[in-house]
Amino acid sequence: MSDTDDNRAERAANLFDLRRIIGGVFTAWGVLLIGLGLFDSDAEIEKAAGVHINLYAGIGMLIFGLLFLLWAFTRPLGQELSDSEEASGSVGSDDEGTRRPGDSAG
Amino acid sequence: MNDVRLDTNFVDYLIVASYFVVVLGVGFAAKRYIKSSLDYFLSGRSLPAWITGLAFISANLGATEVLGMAANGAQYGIATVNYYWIGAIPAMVFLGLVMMPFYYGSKVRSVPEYLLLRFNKQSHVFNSITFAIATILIAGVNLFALALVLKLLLGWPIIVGIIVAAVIVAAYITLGGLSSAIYNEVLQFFVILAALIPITVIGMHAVGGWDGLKEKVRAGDLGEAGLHALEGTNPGDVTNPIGATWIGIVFGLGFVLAFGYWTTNFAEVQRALSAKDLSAAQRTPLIGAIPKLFLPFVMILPGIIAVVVIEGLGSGDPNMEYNNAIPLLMNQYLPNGMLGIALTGLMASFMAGVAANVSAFNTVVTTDLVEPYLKPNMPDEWYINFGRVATIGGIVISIGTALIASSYDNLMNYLQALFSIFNAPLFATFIIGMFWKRMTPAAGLWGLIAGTATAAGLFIGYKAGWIGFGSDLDESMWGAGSAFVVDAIVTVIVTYMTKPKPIEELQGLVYGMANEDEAPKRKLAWWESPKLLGFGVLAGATALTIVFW
Repeated sequence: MSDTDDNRAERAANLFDLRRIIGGVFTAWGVLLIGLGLFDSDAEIEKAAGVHINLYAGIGMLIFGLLFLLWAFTRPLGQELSDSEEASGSVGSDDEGTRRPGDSAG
Repeated sequence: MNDVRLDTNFVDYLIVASYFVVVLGVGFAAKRYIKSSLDYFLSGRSLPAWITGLAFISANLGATEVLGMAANGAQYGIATVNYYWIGAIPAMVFLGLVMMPFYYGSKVRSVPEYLLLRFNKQSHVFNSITFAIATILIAGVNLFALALVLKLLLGWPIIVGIIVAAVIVAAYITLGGLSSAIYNEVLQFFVILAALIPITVIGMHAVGGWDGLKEKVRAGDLGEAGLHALEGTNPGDVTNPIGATWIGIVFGLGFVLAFGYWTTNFAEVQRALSAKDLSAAQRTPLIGAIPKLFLPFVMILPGIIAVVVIEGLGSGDPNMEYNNAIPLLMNQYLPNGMLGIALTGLMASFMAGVAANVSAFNTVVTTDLVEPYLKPNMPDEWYINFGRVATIGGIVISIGTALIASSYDNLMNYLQALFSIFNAPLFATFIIGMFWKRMTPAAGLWGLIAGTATAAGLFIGYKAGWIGFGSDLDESMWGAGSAFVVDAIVTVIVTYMTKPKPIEELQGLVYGMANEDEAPKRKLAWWESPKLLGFGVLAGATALTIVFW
C-alpha cells in the first residue's frame, strides 16, 4: 500500500465511522425530541401516563449521541486502524469484503 | 372490526425518513466511491471488540425477537426469561469458549463449509438445502412483521402489506442496503433500544411500578404462575404457563434449541469468524452475552405490561394477537415524536431481517449449490446474474412463506419450531463430529437427515392434531430434544457400520487437533480473558434466574 492509499483509506474510514453516524443520528433526533417535548400539550403528556417522554427521551438520546461523537472525534478510526495494522503486522485485505452464505441472516 | 391505527403525524414520518436516508445514503455512497476500503471497514476486523459483540447480538434482534419476545412475555409471563438465561447465555458462552477454536482454527468461513471439510459433499449439499429453506421461511416472518407495521400505520390489509413490503425490500437490496449490513445492525441495535426503553419506562410508570405490575398480573389470567421463571415445572405437577417441565426447558429449550441456534447459525458464527484473532473471535459472543443478560427487561417486560394494560390482548381478535403487544403499547402511550423513533426501530429491524435472509438464500443457492454442483465452471457474470434471479425468486417465495407466518399468532413459537427442525439436528452432528474423531462422513449425512425428519415429523404430527403437547413452545422443545437424540443415535450406529476419515484429514477440525492461532500473540489485559468473561456472564445469568425463580 502506498501512502496515498493509506490516507484515502483513513479518510474513508473516518467519513464512514459508525460512531459518527450513530452519534449524528442520535444527536439530531435528541434535539428534535427535546424541541417537541418542550411544546408537548398536556394531552400528550397524559397519554404517556404522565411521563414527559419526548423531553426525557430526547435528553437521553442527545447525551448518548454527543458521547459517541466525542468518542469518535477524540480517537479517530483512521488513525486507530493504521496503528493496529502496524501493531499486528497484517495487511488484512485478503478477503474481508467477501460475503459468505448467511453472512447476515437473522 | 375496530382497526388499530397508529396516530402518526409528519414528525414521525420525518424521523422514519431520516433514518432511511442515512442508511441508504451511506450504503449507496460507500458502494460507489470507496468500495474496497469500506468493505475493509465493514469486515469488523478494524472495529473494537464491543462492536462485533453488538453486531453479534443485533443479527439476532429481528422481528421475531422484538415482536416475539414481547408476545411470549404476554403469553407466558416471566417464564420467558428462560430463553435468555437458560437458553441463549450458556449457549453463547459455549460457542465462545469451546467451539470457537475449531471454527476459527480450521479457517472455514461458513457453517456448511465446516461440514464439507469434516464430513463429505452430501452432508454439505443437504445442509445447504435445508439452510436455504430455513432462510426463506425466516425472511417470510420478517416480511409478515413489516406488513403488520404497515397495517398499523396505514391500515392496509396484511396481504397488500406483504406484497408492498416485498417490493420495498427488493428496492432496498438493489440500492445497496446490504453492503452496509453491519452499520444497519449496530445502528439498529441502538434505535431498537431507544424505542423499547421509553415504552418500558412509561408502561412501568402506568402500572404503578414493579409491585403494581405483580399485583395486576396475579389478578389477571396468568396469575401467580406468570411471575416465575422456573416454579411449577416439576414433572407431574406442571403449573408453569409454558406447560413444560424443567427437563423440557433445560434440555429442549436450553441445551438443544439455544445451543443449536447460537452455535450453528451462520449469521451468529460469521460475526465471530471475521474477528482479527482467536481471542477476539472468542470474545465476540461473550461480549454479546452481556447486553443479552439485560435485554429481558426491555423485551419481555413490555409484553407482561401489555397483558395487564391492554384489555383483550390474546383474546382471538386478530387485532389483539400477542404479536401486536409492542405496537399496541406504542399506540397507547407514545406521543408523536417518540412514536416515530419506535416505528423507525421496528421498520429498520424488519427490513434488515428480510434483506439479510433473502441475500443469505441467494448466496447459499448460488455459491454452495449451483456453483460447485449444478453448473460448475461458468463465467463469473453468469453467477452474478443467477444471483440476481435468485434474489428476486427468494423475495417472491418469501411472500408465500409470509402467509404461513401470518397464521401464527405468536411469531416466536413459529420460529422456535423452525429452529427445532433446522438447527437442533445440526447441533448434534456438530458436537459429536467435533469431539469424536471416529465419526464417519456417512454418519454426518444420515444423522442430519434422521434428526431433521424427526423434528419435522413431530411438528407435522402436532399441527395435524395426532400428537398433543402442552403448548406450541412445548412442542418445539420436545421436537428439538428428539431431533438431537435421534440424530445422535443414528450417528453412532452409522459410524460403527462405515469407514472413518483418515485422521490426517481432520487436522484443525476435531477436539485435540485444533490448529494453533497463527496471529501474533499480544498480551491480553485481565478483563480481556475469554474465560473470565464467559464465567462472569454465566454467574450473572444464574443470579438473575434465582432472583426471578
